[in-house]
Amino acid sequence: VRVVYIKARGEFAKTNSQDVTSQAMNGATLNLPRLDELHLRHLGLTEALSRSYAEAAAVSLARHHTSPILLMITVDGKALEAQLTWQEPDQRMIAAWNNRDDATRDGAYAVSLASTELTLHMTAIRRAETRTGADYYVAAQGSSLEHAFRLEISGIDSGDQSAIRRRLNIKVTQAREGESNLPALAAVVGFLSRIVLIERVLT
Amino acid sequence: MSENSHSRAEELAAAAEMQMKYGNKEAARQLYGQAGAAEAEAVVQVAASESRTRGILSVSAVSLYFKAELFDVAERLAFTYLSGEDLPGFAREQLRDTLQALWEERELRSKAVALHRIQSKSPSEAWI
Repeated sequence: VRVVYIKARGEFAKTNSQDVTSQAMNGATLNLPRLDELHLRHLGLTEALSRSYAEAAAVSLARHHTSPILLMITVDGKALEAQLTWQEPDQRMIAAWNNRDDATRDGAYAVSLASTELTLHMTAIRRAETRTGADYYVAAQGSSLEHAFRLEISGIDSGDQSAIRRRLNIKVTQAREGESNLPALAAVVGFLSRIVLIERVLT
Repeated sequence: MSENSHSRAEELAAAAEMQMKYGNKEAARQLYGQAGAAEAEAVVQVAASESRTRGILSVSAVSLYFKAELFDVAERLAFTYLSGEDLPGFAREQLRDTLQALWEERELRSKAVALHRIQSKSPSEAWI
């Protein structure tokens, strides 16, 4: 595994990210958590939603790749690679997720939450209802909503790295322009490019 | 905060989302409405010191009623929350955004109904 360095960020991750860093620097292969089992640790997900998001991710990934792949996850500009494995979707699953926008959005939920868990050891503690969907509040284990970060998620099916970066910049700018005083993370998943960009937004 | 109301709202909202995925819009709307009621109940029970939590749940309650298409209920609730003095800025901003979207949706539907009425009349009637 080609390893790029990820630095532990104080309030973000503390010791847990150092574990990830240490594994990465030792050349160990990092594995993204199984997408269909996120609900076991992410209390903001039900089992049904977790499996549904995992299906969407599988369909979105299988359009471009064969399992497994190495996913590049970048947090605040520091990157690492992790192996992502999924079950190849059958025809029925592909037909059920024929709406590409829905599949990209829901697949991005699964991949973003798994990436946040791997790199920052934060899990979804509840949904953030929006008019059109739902983002998530993520926090370290044992933390409450009072100390959670809002994770704003976006997915891109076939854009290149610059398209993913542009999308992230838009999300970060929007978050900074508002009068929000809620700390947030923005995450963009590129399915073709095998890239996840995560950035902290401090307001 | 009432964990029961809070958890129930989340379960209902997740169930509503699944119904939407299956194309059962009416069932989804009903579940969203129940989720909104449970979330509004949870808001009342949040401790005064947890202003961020109250903000998050307030936005959630209004958004759930919006998704349930209970626009009047969502609007009233949003104004109630906005009239409070201790609501955090992010929640005020998101509530105002939701109100704006709600008004646009209501306007759109009102125009659609008017258009349907015109189209259902004969051409000569439409000009009277």
